[in-house]
Amino acid sequence: MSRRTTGDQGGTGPVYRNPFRDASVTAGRVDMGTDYTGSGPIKAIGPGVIEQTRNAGWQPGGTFILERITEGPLAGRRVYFAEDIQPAVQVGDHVDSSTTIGYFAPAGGVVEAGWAGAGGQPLAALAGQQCQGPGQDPGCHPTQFGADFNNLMAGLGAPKAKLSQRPVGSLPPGWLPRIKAALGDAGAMISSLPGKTCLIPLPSFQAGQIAGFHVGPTIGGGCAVSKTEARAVMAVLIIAAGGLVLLAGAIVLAAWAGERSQGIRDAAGQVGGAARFFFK
Amino acid sequence: MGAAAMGILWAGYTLTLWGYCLIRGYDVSLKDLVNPVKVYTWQHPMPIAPADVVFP
Repeated sequence: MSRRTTGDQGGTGPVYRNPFRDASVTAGRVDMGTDYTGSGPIKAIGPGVIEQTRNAGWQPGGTFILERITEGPLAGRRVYFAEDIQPAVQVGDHVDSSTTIGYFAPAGGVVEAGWAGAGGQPLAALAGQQCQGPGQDPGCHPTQFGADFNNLMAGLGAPKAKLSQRPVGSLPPGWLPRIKAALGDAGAMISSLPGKTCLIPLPSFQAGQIAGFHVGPTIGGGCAVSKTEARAVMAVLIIAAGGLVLLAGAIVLAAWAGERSQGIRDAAGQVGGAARFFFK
Repeated sequence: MGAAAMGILWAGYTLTLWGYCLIRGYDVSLKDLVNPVKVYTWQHPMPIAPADVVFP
């Protein structure tokens, strides 16, 4: 089944818009996505097709709205809105940025939004960026995909969440330029993203390989060595070289001081000899 | 010889300082660091170097 769902603004205007522009929201934690608390309607981020409205892996009740974006620089990517959300769309619906896809649950709670893969799993999970210890909260630390989605939402005008620490993982090569293109002028603000640019890229990796088994599709590459890591290594080498040069300088200085002190001792000896000659 | 010692010490100090800047991620090049007409003209806090460069 496929139906066209249009909102109250007729779908005109920018391709992508802030999904929370008609809601009252506060940004919370960045984990595999970004958490928002608030009330009111949640719009589609841009033109796309709804692929899921439920996913048993999510609590409470498995509410999970998955949209595949079909137009603009982000065409082909998928976004999800999950947890305390009441869906207002059905699987197969065609939506645009004026479509209300759901509402914050009246009882309150948290809506997590982020990037997802084809099956609906968050890309952060597919890339192994989430916390993976036994019994551990999968969202115990910020992931690179979560931070990237946070930047996208902030660029569209949503509240920006504060990161509790440097995000874990890296973004696939070529990921950021499309985000910047999607944001237009606002894309300049993400030039300082804490992302990684590869010095030695991995051409691709199978999501889930880290855990030793395949759980999802190939989602692009990663970094064997990022430029940031290379800079840190070079910095340590430069500090070591600087220390050696300082040591060499200290040795030359000591030698020079030694020569000077010998000269002073010689002069003092001559003065002493002259004094003894006159006063004996 | 004293002047040479001072010069070597200054070079070592500068290299060490630049390495420290790189570790902190500061967006400052070695040329800027030793430029006598660019002393204390950087923004505060120091801008962070882009992730796509090894040496600023």
